[in-house]
Amino acid sequence: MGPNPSILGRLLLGTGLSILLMVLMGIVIVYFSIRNSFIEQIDVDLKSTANLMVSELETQGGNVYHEWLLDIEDDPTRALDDLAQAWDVRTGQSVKSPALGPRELPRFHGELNQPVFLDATIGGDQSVRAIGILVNAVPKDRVIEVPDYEIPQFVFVLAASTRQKDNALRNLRQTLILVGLGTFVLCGVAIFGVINQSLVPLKDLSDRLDAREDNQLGRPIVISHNFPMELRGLVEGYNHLLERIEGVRKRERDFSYHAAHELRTPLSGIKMVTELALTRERSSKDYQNRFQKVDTIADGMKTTVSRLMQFARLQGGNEVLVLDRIDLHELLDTAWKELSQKTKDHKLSAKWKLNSEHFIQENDAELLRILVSNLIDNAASYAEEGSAIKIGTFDEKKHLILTISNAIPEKLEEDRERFFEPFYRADKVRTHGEGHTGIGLSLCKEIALTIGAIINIAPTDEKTFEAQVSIPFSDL
Amino acid sequence: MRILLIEDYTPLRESITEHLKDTGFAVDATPDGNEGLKFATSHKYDAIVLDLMVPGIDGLKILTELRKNGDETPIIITSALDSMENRVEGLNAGADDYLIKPFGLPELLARIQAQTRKVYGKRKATIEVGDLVVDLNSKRVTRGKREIVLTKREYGLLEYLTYRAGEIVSRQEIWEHVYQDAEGGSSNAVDVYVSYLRKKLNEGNEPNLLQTRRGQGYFLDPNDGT
Repeated sequence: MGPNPSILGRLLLGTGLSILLMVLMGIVIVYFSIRNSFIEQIDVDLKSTANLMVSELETQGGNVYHEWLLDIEDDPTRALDDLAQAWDVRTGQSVKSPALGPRELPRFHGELNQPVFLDATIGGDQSVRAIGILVNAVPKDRVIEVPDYEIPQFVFVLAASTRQKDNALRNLRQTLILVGLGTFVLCGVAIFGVINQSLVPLKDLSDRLDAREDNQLGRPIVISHNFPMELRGLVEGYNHLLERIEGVRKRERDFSYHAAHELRTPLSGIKMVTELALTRERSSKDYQNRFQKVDTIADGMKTTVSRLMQFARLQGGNEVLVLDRIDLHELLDTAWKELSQKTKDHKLSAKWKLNSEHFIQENDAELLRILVSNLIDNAASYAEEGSAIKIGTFDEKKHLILTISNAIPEKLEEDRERFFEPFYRADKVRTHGEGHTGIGLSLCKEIALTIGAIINIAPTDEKTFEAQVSIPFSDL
Repeated sequence: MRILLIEDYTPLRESITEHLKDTGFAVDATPDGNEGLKFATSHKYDAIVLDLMVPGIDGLKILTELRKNGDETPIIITSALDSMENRVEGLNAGADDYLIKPFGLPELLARIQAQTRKVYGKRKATIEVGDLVVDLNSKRVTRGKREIVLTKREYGLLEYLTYRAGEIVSRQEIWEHVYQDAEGGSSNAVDVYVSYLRKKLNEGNEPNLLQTRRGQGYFLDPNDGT
């Protein structure tokens, strides 16, 4: 098979060879059955004739009489056709039928009175079937009670020409070969048609896919009720694949879409602050204040863009880890203190339960800092006002488990994976004022993957939302 | 005209508020959806500028809630969500306009004015009451061939009275639509500004356009109240 194997070619070759083999087997079986039946018939005839002729071998007074020879000689038909020869075992002398002429039959035999058969050629060109038998000559006078009398033995061979049989078999061979060839060709044509017809739905499917416009690429293939069942699995698999590809494309589209939205609002802010500044003449102090506002907005946009870039790098696997010894408990404390303004505004407190003995980690300090800061920031942003955020660590099966939980004002949906989608917001709220970019948790997930940790975020009950990170112990 | 602005992004909220006030609007602004809904249900506004993604109750829920309660105040959605689905969803929920961020302040102002004109049944950007002409875009006021120079507050008062020309407008209504809550004072301040405005509108023997109905309020009338 070449580099582009063809199903049609394979099926044709496979079925063609199978048919050829079956036809050949059929021919061989039929031929040999008929041939054997011919031979059996000849053998039966030879045997019955030989039995009769052998019974005519007699002794009389120690001499042997070949009455069959006399019979042959008396019958002009048999004189021309019968091919028989007998040998005296004791003397080696033989007598043969006139039809043999100068030719000799092969001398052969089996056990006493056990006929054996042989295909032979006599006179160099005549094929014959022969029976050979070793027999005792029957004493004609029945005086056998003579002491030390040895009954004479003869080898008697009777042959029949097989010319007729050979001709019939030759004709049979030709007929069978022609019939076989015809059968093979007819079957081949029929199978080619059937296979070709069977492959039509596959070609139709291929044509339908080829004919798709760019805006139809994600549409599933719709199949009719009489679509071949063998191809249904392929179509279902293809549709499932399309669905998955469409999901990935949608997430990518959503990401770009949301990223654009996240930048639109601060861009709008810059536009308005500058527009307003230009509506009339202002004092330099006033201009300074407005430039300060623009600068703050630009800083926020810079953070958003930087996080987007980092997210893209992490997703693309391009982030190189810089390992360092890090005190995770200290990192948590710092992250909490950095949110002092927000925690004060929301009247939030922290409940610490730091029980891990492996809080000194060898890890990427910056990535771990972003992970911890984002999780605490997220908890503080969505915590119910006046509630406590619980931050804890403990060790379990060679992993440090970090948990950060907060009370939530209302029950959130429980589609855990959605929390990690970029720009997904469970409560549809943007909190630009608090520095959120909408990709904090997505970043956390990518960071967790990069540092070999596992992250889970889910409501633990109707009133509590918990983030749990399982970080494998590092070899220090 | 009194506008309610619900926008959580501080630079936007502050800029819009400042610009609207500069152009004579009274503005109540809040970053929070819950507070925004409370404002909208407890005051009579001439228009509401509503961001969709705000903390507390999101913008779409505020809109739906107001329309469910029969509030017909014009609502202009401002959002970064620009897809057709988002716009259709907002307009179908009862918004009168949908403005996609980033937008310019003049555009927002024009849309607010278009909505307020519609509320008071005024199609044109210039309103004429007798020989008084108020250009809503340029904020220019003329009577006959005379141009009248007004302060921001006087213009705000005149614009509101012009919108409602021919109707008696109570002191309380003027107070609610023209004055800022945080300004302090009381609706008696309205009388002072009405008197300032009347002096500027009527000069020499010109008919008095701004009439007083004792115990009821004021009204702009081209026929000298007769």
